[in-house]
Amino acid sequence: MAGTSYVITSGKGGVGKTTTTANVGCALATLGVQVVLVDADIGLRNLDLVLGLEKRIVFDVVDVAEGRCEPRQALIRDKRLDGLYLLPASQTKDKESIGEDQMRDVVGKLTKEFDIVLIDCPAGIEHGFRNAIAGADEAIIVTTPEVSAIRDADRILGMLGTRRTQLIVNRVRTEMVKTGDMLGVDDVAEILGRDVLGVVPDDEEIIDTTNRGEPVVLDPSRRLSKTYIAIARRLLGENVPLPSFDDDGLFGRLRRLMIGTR
Amino acid sequence: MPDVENERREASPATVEQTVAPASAAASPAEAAPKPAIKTGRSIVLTSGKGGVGKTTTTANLGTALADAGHSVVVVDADVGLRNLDVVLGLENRVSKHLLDVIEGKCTLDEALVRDRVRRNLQLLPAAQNREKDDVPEDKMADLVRQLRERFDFVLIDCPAGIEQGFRNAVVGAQEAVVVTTPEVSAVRDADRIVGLLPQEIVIKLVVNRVRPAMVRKGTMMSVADVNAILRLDLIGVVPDEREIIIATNRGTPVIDIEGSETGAAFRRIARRLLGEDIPIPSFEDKGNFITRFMTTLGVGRS
Amino acid sequence: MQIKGTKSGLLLHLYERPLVEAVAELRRRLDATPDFYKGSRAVLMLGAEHAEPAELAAVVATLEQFGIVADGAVCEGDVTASLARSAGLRLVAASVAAAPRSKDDRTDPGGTANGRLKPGSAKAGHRGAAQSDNVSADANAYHKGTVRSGQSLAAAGNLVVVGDVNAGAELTAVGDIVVWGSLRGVAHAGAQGDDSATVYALRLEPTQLRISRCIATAPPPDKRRARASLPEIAKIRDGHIVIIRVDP
Repeated sequence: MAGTSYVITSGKGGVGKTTTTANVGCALATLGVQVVLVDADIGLRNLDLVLGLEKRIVFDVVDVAEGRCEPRQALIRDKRLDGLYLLPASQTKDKESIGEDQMRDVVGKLTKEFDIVLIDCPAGIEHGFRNAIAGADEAIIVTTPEVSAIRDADRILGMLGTRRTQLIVNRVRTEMVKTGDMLGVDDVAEILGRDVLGVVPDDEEIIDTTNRGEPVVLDPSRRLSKTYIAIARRLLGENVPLPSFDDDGLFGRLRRLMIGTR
Repeated sequence: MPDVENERREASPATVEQTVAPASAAASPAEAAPKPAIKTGRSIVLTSGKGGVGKTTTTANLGTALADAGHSVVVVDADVGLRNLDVVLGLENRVSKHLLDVIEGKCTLDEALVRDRVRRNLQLLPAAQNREKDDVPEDKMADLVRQLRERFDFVLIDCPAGIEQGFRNAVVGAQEAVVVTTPEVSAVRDADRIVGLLPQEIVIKLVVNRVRPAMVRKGTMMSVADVNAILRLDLIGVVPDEREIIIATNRGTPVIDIEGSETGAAFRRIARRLLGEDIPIPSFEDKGNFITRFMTTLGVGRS
Repeated sequence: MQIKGTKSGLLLHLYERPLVEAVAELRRRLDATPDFYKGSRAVLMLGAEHAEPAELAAVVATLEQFGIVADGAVCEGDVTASLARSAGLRLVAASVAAAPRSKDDRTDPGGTANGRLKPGSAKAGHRGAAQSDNVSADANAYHKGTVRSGQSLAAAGNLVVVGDVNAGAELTAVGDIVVWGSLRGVAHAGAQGDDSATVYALRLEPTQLRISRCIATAPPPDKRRARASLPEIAKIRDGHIVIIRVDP
């Protein structure tokens, strides 16, 4: 049975697509899933950096698309986790070096070999974005609880067609949600009208781990590790309850009254 | 037969100079921005490669600060399809026409420009929300920027993330570029990529955004020096991270208007440096008061 | 005769002399590094000089023997323009041909454009002009300034960079590579199979090093002895790449 491909997208740049792709991918692998991560951000690749696999790149997705090598030759097997592979992007080319048909083709080959294919989408809505979604069965939209990000996510929704789309709300700052300075997860879900696959709290540990190429999931003692494992479980169909961000205090109710939700 | 011995004696020892670093970028060496002859404003594109590092916030705040300094400023949202500059400035309800309408001759420039509510000398040329970046031909964009330079002292162009046509459109017509990055490996890598794609003639300057001095001290964040060891650009600003920024952005108020904001103060200094003032870049580690307040602001430590 | 590298491929300046002579010189130049340009596209600058269709055909055929597809021509005047057209070359404006990247010259992402050779014909492991944006006109290349992430330089001879080579940048040389600065990107010396090729850098911190058919990644920072900024040299010894520190 062929695997499922997901594009991890957002519209707005910098909300955490790549970090999410890397960590959800690692989480899936720890749960025994055969997963391949595809970096579709040609010319601005970062997935390899975040995974700490930069030094092992020999061939990339453009080489595969142009027939210079077989997909197997381009795949980098993560030595830290069984079942986790990366198909890197090229850094010296640009988005026009590959087309939607080619991406569909490459992803199609990968879904025959892997349970799950996660495609890391570039920011924006141009060629790169269209290429990335071309091969995807489903979509996961990453957004932060900020006006600009939600707006761009909303725009993206319109371009994803009939694909099943779920949300990951990233960088949630609980204390700011409580004081009404930040939208809550429910608000975001309501505006975008999609199910929430996961909620990731803001945590400065992410900066250091991405800089060092050591996805936070690899360290079970890290707070965020559990968060991503929960997301992976939900993706696999398990019913894992979402964390409650307890904003049911007086302020929470007042806020809801003021902005008129529910 | 040449007199080799004499020649050797003639040559004096070469002077050894201390050089700071190997020759720098495609960017021309740091020099003063071209001064307007007759009324020709300066066109500056704010770019980064990586999304979410603060280009739009920087454009909005820099534009506001320059307007406060008495200059006529137009901020141009070149992010066709995913516009955000209007939201950050709190002007989204006043947007009717946009950049593409002007280029296609569907309206005049004046009909599309939105004047800021507070600063009369600051105007916004909004992006279209429902079109795509391929729709804007480069030469028409260059013409528009030229037109804007005749009317305004400063034309600040907010560039979309990425290196595709949106980026190319935003850059065409710009004489200067401010590259915005954060002290993170991916952001610096993308900024470097961008610098390599900017035309040779553009004068490039660097702003490092979202610096967290406490993390730099702990060794869990790159320092500004680490960033510029790679980028080797003319640094015109270091902006600290603050929760005020998120609140301000969501409310449509420039952070420079928030009392006591260090981020706001940093943007004001950047504007002054762009205007030619030689203000040293503060080292955030020194200010004891700042650190305590800063940590409190981020929700760490006692208030 | 100038062979210039631009982002749209090779630009051959053929207008300086009669095409008949150009063919001979072209062959001589390409014979020196037969595989280096394989897979590249070329635009021919023909100027206004009259030439015989057979002569132009000879140029195109010669290029093809080296794996180069001529698919465009810059012409001044109708005479050369019709000559080019009858040879199957599309007309390109001079500014477009020389420009760093022009939409017109971009590869058709849908697949191999008309007549373009499949890049897979280059031997695995051999890198050359086709994979680089900037190919030097002369065999040896000299570059001043930082080489930025995503930029790629190639030389059919030796390559010297006075400046840093940032991570994400790629250098390819048939001969040696010398970096008077920090080498943080990927460098491939001896790209056509010369095992004696050497990489020199003031600071050798590459993402990856390739010499001939060998590939090595730099050891992780903590494994390396305190290096300060001592220059280092990389060469092949006993079938693998070794790094030699230069002691002053």
